[in-house]
Amino acid sequence: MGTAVIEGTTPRLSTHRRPWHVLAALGGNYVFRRIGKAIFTIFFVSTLTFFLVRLLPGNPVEVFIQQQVGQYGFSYEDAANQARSLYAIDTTKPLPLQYVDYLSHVARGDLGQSVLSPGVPVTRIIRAYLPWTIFSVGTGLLLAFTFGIGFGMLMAYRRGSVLDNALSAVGSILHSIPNYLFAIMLVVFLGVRLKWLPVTKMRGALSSGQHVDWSLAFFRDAFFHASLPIATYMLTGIGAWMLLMKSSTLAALDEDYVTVARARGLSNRRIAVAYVGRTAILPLFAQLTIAVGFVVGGSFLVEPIFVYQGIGYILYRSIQQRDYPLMQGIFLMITISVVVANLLADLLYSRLDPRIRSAG
Amino acid sequence: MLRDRVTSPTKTSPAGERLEEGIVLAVQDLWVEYRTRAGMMQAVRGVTFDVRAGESIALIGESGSGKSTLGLALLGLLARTARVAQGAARFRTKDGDTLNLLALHNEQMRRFRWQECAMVFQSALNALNPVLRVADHFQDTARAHGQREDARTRARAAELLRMVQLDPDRVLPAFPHELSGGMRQRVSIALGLLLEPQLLILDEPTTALDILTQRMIIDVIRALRQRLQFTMLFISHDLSLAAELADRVATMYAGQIVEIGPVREVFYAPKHPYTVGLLDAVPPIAGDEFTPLTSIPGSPPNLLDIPPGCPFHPRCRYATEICARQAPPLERVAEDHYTACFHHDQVDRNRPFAGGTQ
Repeated sequence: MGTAVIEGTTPRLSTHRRPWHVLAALGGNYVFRRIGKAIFTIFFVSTLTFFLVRLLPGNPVEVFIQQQVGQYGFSYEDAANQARSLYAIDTTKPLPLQYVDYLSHVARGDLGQSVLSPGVPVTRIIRAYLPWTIFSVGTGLLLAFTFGIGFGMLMAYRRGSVLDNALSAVGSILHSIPNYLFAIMLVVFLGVRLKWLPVTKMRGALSSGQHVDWSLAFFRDAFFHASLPIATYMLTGIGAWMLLMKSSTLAALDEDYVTVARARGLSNRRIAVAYVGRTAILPLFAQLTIAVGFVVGGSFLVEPIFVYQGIGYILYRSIQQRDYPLMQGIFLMITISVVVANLLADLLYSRLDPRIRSAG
Repeated sequence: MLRDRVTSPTKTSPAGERLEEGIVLAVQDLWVEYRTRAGMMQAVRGVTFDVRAGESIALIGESGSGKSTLGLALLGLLARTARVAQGAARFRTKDGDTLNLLALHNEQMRRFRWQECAMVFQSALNALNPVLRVADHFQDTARAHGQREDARTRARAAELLRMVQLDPDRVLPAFPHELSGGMRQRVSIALGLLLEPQLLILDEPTTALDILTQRMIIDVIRALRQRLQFTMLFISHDLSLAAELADRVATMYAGQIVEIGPVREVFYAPKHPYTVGLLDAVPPIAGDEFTPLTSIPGSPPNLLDIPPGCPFHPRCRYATEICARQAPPLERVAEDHYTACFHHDQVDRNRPFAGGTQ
């Protein structure tokens, strides 16, 4: 047996470490490629928003100019100049040039100015409201994901039990309620009918007079105001995670390597975490990236109901009041945050599943 | 359902008593059944055998003959729908204690697994966790059994991997998907020997592999046994594998052992028509004389509806009227050689049966 060729060593012993360098490069390449894809997506969507604004009925820029001329008696020239600074769009230029202009503005972070609050750059509005949405949506999603996974695994381990059946029923019901409906029910029943929740006091992102700092009072206040949106995102999201995790755990429990791990005398805890849980959770990451988009997009239905002042609330208002530059900017920001969330989830996925890194 | 007790082929002490030295495992009248939609399905029906220290014993049978269920039952790994209905399995541990395997608490069973009795599974391609490195599998196993010195585990793992002709520097940091099927199966074998178990069960260790890789695995197992002297119980449908690796062979049919004896006896003077049928169905193991292959007529019995009497009688050319009425007991036919057939004195592989297919 000593004379047999040992498998795994490449013939040239001096370079036998090379496959690993190649693999490491591939791993780096995957990250690189993934970031490239994200940048392309953002570019594509900003292009789309540019043309979308022009496809909207009655070209909003032209409508604005006509409004200015009709209402305030500006000359067309002046009105067009104002529109140019507001929309970061010059309607007198040919379309391709406008597009190039627009892209260069976006690249420099200039998204124009709000129509309704003249002189306030769109970016400043986004910067003021987006963090609240990221905070509430992120917390809600994270809680839903964490608890959903916990309950899902529990259901799979106790399959067929009363607990499993009860949780399955609760999960399906929660999953079937749209988040805006759930938000309305919270306000109507817990707030108005039963008066258990001070829904009026909970409006806004912070109580008046509360400063943004690192104090405990600030965090308490932030959570107080965000608690209803967070509860909504969590409870309407958790059902799907529970049911997905249950089926994915059941599949993992059937894997041969789980039986082998038991045969090896590993503790149930170690098997549940490293052998069942870790492989069962993988397909859920793909779902998580989709969920981020849905929840951020859905915040514009939920936030107005609670009068929670996040980007969704502002988007709702800007749509109502036809503040096109603001809408355009928010669409772009939502896209970017979804793309970035996707990117993070994908990179995390590749950390968790070694097969992705080499197959890419 | 008939539950005739099959007489014990070797002297085993009754359940609960200490196992004598020289016996690693004593299985006695073991019955395992599966709950199915169509009713209780008996996969193992009154199996009795001993595994002697240092020997290699092969359990041979067609698929569905209950061989794999037996292995899983010993390690307490039966599916949720299966249960041991009756019987005993006793194991003599490294320090001489006797364990009643069917009555162990969860924690006792956990410690017994791998430490005393390890298993190499059929599913070579899927036996390792895809998200863990090979080294982690060794570490996990060692830590589960209280060995906290990772460096020592790593050294031992490297040594075992070299024994199965793998390069530890390349294989230990690899993920399972980076290895070929044969390499993964050799990793599984090395992993099986990590804690120096008394008994290694190999369940169809070569089935999922191509023929050249099978050859390699057989050579590796043989070399390992010469070097490490562990006891081996291997489960296979492959007679040539048994001929190469086993000291004793047990043929299983419809959940029962129908013949058990030393490998040369069973191959050269089989006394059960089913064993004869199995031997005739494969190319000769020794010699270069060409003999036509014949298959056993009929198909393995439906375990939900096992024929009365000898379960093999509908497919057996020696069958007479008594075979359909009464289950044949295991009878001694030669030194250490037992068979469950009423007509074993007529069974002779080298003398073609009148009217037979030869």
